[in-house]
Amino acid sequence: MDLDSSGTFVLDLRGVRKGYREGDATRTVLDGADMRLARGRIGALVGRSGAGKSTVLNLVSGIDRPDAGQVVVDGIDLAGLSERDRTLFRRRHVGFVFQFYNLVPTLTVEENVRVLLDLDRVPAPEAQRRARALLDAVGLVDRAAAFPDRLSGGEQQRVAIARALAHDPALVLADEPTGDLDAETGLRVLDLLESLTRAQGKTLLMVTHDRSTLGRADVVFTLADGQIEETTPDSTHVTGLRPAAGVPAAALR
Amino acid sequence: MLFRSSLRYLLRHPWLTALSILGVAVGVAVGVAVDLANASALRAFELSGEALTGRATHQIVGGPGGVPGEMPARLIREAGVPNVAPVVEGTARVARDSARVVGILGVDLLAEAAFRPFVAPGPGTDGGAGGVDPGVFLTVPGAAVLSRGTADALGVALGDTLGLSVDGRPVTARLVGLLDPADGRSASALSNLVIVDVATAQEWAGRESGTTGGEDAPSGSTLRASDAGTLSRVDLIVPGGASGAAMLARVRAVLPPGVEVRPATGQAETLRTMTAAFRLNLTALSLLALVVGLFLIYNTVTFAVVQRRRVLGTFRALGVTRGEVFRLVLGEALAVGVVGTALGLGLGVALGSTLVGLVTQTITDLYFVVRVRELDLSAGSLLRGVALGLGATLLGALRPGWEAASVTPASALRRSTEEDRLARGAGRIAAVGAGTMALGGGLLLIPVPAGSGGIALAYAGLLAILVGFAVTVPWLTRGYAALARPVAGALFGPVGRMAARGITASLSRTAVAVAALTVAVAATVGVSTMVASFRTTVVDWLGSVLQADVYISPPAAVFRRGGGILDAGLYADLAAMPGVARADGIRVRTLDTEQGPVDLVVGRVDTVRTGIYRFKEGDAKTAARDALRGSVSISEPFGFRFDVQDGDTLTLPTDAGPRRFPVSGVYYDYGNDLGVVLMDERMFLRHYRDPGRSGVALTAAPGTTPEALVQAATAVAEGRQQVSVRSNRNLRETSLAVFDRTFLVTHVLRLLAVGVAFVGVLSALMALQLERRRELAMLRAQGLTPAELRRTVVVQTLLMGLWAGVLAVPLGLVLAAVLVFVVNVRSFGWTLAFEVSPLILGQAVGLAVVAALLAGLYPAWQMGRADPAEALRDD
Repeated sequence: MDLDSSGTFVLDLRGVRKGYREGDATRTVLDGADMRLARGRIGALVGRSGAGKSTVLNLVSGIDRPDAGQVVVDGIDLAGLSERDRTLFRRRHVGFVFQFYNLVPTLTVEENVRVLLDLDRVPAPEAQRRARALLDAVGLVDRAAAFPDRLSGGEQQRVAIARALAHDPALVLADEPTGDLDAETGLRVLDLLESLTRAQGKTLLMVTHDRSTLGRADVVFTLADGQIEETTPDSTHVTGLRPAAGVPAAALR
Repeated sequence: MLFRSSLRYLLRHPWLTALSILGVAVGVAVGVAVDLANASALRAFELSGEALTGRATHQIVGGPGGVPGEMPARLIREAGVPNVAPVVEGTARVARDSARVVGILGVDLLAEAAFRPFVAPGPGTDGGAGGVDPGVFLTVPGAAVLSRGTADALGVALGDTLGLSVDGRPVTARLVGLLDPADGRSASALSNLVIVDVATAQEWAGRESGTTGGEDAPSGSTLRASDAGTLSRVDLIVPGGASGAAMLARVRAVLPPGVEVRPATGQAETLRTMTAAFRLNLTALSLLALVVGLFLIYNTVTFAVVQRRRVLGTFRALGVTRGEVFRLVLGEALAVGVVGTALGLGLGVALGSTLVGLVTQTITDLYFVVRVRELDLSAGSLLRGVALGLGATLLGALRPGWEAASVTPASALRRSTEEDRLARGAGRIAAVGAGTMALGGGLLLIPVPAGSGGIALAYAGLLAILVGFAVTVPWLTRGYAALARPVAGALFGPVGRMAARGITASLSRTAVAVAALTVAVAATVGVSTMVASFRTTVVDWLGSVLQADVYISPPAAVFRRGGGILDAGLYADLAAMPGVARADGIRVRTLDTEQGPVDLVVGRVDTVRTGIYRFKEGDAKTAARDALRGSVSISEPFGFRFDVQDGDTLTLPTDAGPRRFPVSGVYYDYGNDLGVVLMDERMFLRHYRDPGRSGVALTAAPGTTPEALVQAATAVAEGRQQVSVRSNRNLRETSLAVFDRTFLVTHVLRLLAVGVAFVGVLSALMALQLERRRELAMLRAQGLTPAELRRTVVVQTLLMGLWAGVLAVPLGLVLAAVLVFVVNVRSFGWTLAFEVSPLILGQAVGLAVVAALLAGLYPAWQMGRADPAEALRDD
């Protein structure tokens, strides 16, 4: 059980089932999994390759839908939304940091950061102000006019972090954000990600393979056999603790 | 901002962007050029007609050898028509430049003011005051007036003489006035027009009194030309309403049998109909270039989507909606389309000015003299070009756009997604393709009543077959690649196997390139086979109809229609030359009917004459026998055009009014796509007081060579009338030269389609190699040498080109069969032999291979040069 001071979960998965067809068979990845993450907390999602970490991220961001169960993010049940509404939900409530940065090569650094603001018709001066402020925060305001291919990997990931925060999302999802970086650069990127999300009161869910990053998390979710187990970062064994069910959706808003 | 990203993407791949712009541009250019050329040719004719018709509301036409010259006076006196103008029209060749044909307009200057104000009497144009000085115009022999532009073009000034040849007879015009047309439109209307007094024109055209009667003038004729000769027509201005109707009734009461009054507007419409099939065929060919261009656009846009799956996936993951992605891709395509279309319009106008020459030449060869040869830049043609370019671009972008929109963020980072889907769906897509082809076949099989067209339906069927086939290409290509792999492996080692494997691995790219090349090459096979079939048929036909040894006729303005009159004395002297075993006089007479001109071919019809024809319905013997009882035979296109069969009756205008003729026999004839009616000379003279002959065919007696006859005939005609004396071989060659000239425009269009396809293959291959940059760089990094890499690319394009060539053969033959058995039959009613030439098929495969190899050279060079480290870096 992990409740923050206000008592709300930003992320709430209940009894989620998800499988993929492989030829004639179906491979079940999540089998009635539950998971909760409270506002302002940092969660780390770990598990072996193929355990379903990407599936969880896809479900939480509305990219994919569960076969059964509920996925409630920031008080919104994604299972009930249309594809378009899920896309717009993502645009407004979720920020993404990918392993390979995925910056748009044909947009400048600043344009990459403000692309969602423009799509949401945020007035240009305001969009520019926010983009500049974030670039300043990640230490790249002097590279605003450069194209991504002129930046190092670490710099690109810092731009990606700025982009993930630009539209003030409730939830930031990071998929192995240091996986493509050297140890030292990765450490600095993680510092930045952690400090920025904490400073802005964002909730962060981070997929990682790196045990050393677990220490930054408030809570660790371990994926195995279609179930998600919640532990604390310093525990070296599976606690067996399960989050309690039954918090009404209305209470989460 | 998304669009900014797109534009930058286009700018970062300048070669691909340029190629797709070029593809759109060439497609639009060909379409616009053909449209402009067609429209200009028609417009030219309308302008010519406008100059000749002036403000007349009605025309009086018909009669033996024309309208009796007394008609204008009688119309004024007896019918009370105030505005009446006699007109004699004709064509002449310029003596100094026999390729140049001018129109002759003979008018009564004093009657002209109400009809054609530009030739109205006035003080003369020497001082630029306008008008034509009647004193000079009516008194100077051969007095003629030209527009200033025409005079400049012909290199004559006021007071100069201009030598002309009318039906091979030399005449001399003297320039006594220059017209300064008020605007460009009038200038076009007056271009290449020589305006003379009606009496001069009658004299030149042999219409003055006495010349139409001959020693064998028929005795039963009800009408004789007045002393004033005959006229081409009489123009009238009849007011609207009841008074006009009453006036027309009075006019009709005055007209002798065989002469009738018609609205003046029908002429252009008739000619529009006459050339409709010809023009439609050109349009269809230009659309072919666009279909290939469509592939190109589809290909480019697909490439842009495939290459940016990752970016699009990122966009989608970040929260960009499907609609936004779809609009993004369409907007990008539209940017290419707008630039390409603008460029295409410019190219099209340039190309159009070349094509208009070819098109008007063909129309002049086949249908009627087109004097005006300028490009008419109609807004309609340009707008159609814009619609074509943008429409095709959007159409080509629809599927890739949809594809891009359905990139799921979840699968975005997996590059093989699309290939997997295509590979799995290839069979299903092929089934859809087969269905589309069946639908096309069904459209072709829908019965269309003879003469009612259905060409558009035929082309729709053809298009469905083309598209259907193209859609089965991925499936066929997958099978081919599997078969080619061991063969290529045996020939080229591992590089060969890799090349073959690469075709399947990037099926979505390779199949589109193969399909585009297949369609373009198939179009070449189809059109070439159709032309070859046509040509073989014509060669056969010429061999059978050209039985005589020497042919003599005055030069005709319209090659396929003849119509000039051979001097009667000359005819008799030619027929009586020593060494002539048989002389067959022939007359070609064009009858003006409500349904347009009908060509009568008149000769002594006997079994020898009919024996040269092959009959489709009826037979030669019966036709020859019935001809003496008043029957006519008709050519196949005539039967098709008017839906007439053996045993039907045919109503033709004669000097004594409309008369019904039984039809005995329908014969094959490829000389005139509007069809002809064959009538015995004796029957003709009974119905038409028009004994002249258009030409004579001489058969050499044993012991006389055709060459000797040619020499003798030339000597006999010397100084009497300019005639062309052609040996059998010479005439055959000339006929084939005209045939080839009429298909020149077809060949030009076909080459353009291949050009577009080449650009398509080049862009597809470049896209393919660019896309596989990473994969190939990986191979380079693992030790593949640049030479091996280049070989892989070259072998792969070779395999693709070969496959496209092989696929093009059956598709091309189907295309040819549809053109020969459906389109030709529905356009002209011709039965053609189907000639499959192994040479054409071999050339097609060669063309595909060469095009693919050429297109593969640049990417191969580029790939071999690429730095693996650079290429492996993520873009």
